[in-house]
Amino acid sequence: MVLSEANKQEIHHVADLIKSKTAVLGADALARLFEIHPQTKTYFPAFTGYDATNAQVIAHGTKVFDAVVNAAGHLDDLPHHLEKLAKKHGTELLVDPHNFVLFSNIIVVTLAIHLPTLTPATHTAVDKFLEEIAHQLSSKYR
Amino acid sequence: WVWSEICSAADYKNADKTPDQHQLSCARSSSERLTDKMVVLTKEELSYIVEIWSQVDKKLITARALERVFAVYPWTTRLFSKLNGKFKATDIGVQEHAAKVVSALDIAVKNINNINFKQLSSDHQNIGVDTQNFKALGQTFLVELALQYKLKFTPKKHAAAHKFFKQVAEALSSSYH
Repeated sequence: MVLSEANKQEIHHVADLIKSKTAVLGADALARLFEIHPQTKTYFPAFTGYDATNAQVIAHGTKVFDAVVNAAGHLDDLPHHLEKLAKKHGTELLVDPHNFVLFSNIIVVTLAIHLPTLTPATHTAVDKFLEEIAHQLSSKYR
Repeated sequence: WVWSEICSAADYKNADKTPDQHQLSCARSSSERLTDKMVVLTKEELSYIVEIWSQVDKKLITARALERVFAVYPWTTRLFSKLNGKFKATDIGVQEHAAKVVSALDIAVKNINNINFKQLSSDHQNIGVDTQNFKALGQTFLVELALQYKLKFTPKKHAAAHKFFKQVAEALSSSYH
């Protein structure tokens, strides 16, 4: 998967827009994931709730979106940058990789809600970026 | 699908049957089984979809969803060579296809949980459309709804819309063989 220079610019721009809002966006995205794909809640049995106002959802959503923003700063070495997280997901967390695709689609909708706009060009760049993250996170399972 | 995927050996109803009787029983109930697997909207979700479809500019949002699906998932343009690379919402080819999609969605919205697209599904298979395209267009519709409604597009409404477009995709895939 190759990100063009135009793609990279779009991704940097989006990362800039969301870096101060990772809690709000992360909680919203995660709450939507739990609502639309209830089976994803099985990975968080200790959570006391699954909506965007729940403290655990906010904390975890923040973590995920902070990681996405960090990854945007490493577009030229994503495999290396994500290797530790990939190992964690592949050997410890054992999240079914299909969930990364489900979550990526929901993240795109969440961005469409919270950002001023989401042109097809930006949408494409973000979609490619999230696809690459999903691919890397799926790479250490077997 | 394989019959064994929809009929488990542990199914209590089949416990007293021979393997052949078991298979027959599964095949007979297969259409019911497939329906069991299909997504069903609650009354609340159904009324949200009816409401939203009456509120939006149908042609506009559909044309935009098409422009977006062609841009974000370029393989969806595979069977649209007659559009000559003109894939913007305002281009005539996209407008024409949008009109057809709107007509079909009008029918779908009126028949939620009971959408019969058997013929339309066959037509799409005959044209050669990959059923994955229906899911892609469903996703870009969700993005267009999110852009229009912003925070009003709550998780519950998002879920309802997701289920609706999944149902439409299933109905459009139903005759493929």
